[in-house]
Amino acid sequence: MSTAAHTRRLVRRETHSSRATAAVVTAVVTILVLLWLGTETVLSMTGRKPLLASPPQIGAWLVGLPQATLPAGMIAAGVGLALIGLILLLLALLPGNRGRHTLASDRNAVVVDDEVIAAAVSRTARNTAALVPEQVSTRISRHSIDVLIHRTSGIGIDEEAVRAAVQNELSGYELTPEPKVKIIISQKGALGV
Amino acid sequence: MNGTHRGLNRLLLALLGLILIAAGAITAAAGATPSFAADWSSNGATAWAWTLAQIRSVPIGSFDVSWWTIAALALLVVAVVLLLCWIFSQGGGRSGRIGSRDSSAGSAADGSGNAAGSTTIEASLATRAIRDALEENDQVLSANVSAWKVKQADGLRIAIQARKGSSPRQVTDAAEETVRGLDELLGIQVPVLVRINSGLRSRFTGAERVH
Repeated sequence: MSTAAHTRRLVRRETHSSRATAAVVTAVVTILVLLWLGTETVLSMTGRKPLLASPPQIGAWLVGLPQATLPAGMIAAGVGLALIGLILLLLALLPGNRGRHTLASDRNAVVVDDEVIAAAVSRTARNTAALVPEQVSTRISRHSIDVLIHRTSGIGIDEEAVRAAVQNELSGYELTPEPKVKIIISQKGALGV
Repeated sequence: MNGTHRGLNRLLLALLGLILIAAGAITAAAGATPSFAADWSSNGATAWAWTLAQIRSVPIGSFDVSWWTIAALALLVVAVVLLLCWIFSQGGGRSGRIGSRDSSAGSAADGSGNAAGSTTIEASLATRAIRDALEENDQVLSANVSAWKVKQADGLRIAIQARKGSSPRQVTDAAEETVRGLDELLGIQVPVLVRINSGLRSRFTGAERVH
């Protein structure tokens, strides 16, 4: 395997969920159901009382289910089953992005938590606009960075300067995927923030 | 960076999801259309009677137990074992070494006269060196280095907890410098993954206010 392909794989594994939790939960639930079925079979074979229902009882129950249950109950149960199935299918098909970005580097593969990027962006914005930490908060998602600034009453904020500083800081990171920057300055100023 | 079989996870989850969706759709259809419910019961009764007949047709000697029951139990055991294998296949891949190189014996003709052998590098060496070098940086709260072997490829994973508000670029550059030093020391380039995260310590340690 070439180094580039190897690095790409390392990065992909770090930025996407492995679905290990879903796999373990699904496997444990399935094992419990199978163990119960096995226990019932053994109990029925040796002629003992079933835990919940013996295999012949389960079979008869399944055959008579539509007659024994209200149609609305059948529909609700069916929708419930299908929903669980849908969740599993989506877990299998969706990419499972974790809140992380890749940062360009010559030698290493670098993966940064979004929280770290958000803190760095907040720091840049507040250094530029001379604010205290509580006045700036940054939200980051895969494709966008929103910088929220609560300004002090009577003091204007140079939005363009903040934007330029944040852009400049981010351009040094060369993030993949590259997020778009949005600066949001509160309309109402506040005192003592 | 671990050895989890991600493709397998997704395949099995998709398979179980499809089975559940099919079962749910059939159940809901039986609730919605009475004729489907009637079919369910009549076909189900036929199938169940046939199954019971099959089970009774192959008793074990004079016992009241069928070979089919034993086969079903065996199948259940195999399924449970496979599921356990699936659970234990998660994770893994941590390794104690970060690189190995085989060298063949040098011939007398080229004058090197090397003996054949292989060189392996223990991870603990690199781990200590990188951690100590990185933790001197005041943007770094803590660093953690581990070696992994995934699909025949060695690699180092450097997890760095960054100080709140520190520039990921500066942290990355510091890590790069350290790793280049390691390259020089070892003579080979090991694949390195750097992960910069913020943990509890970043949250409770204030940002550096004076630069």
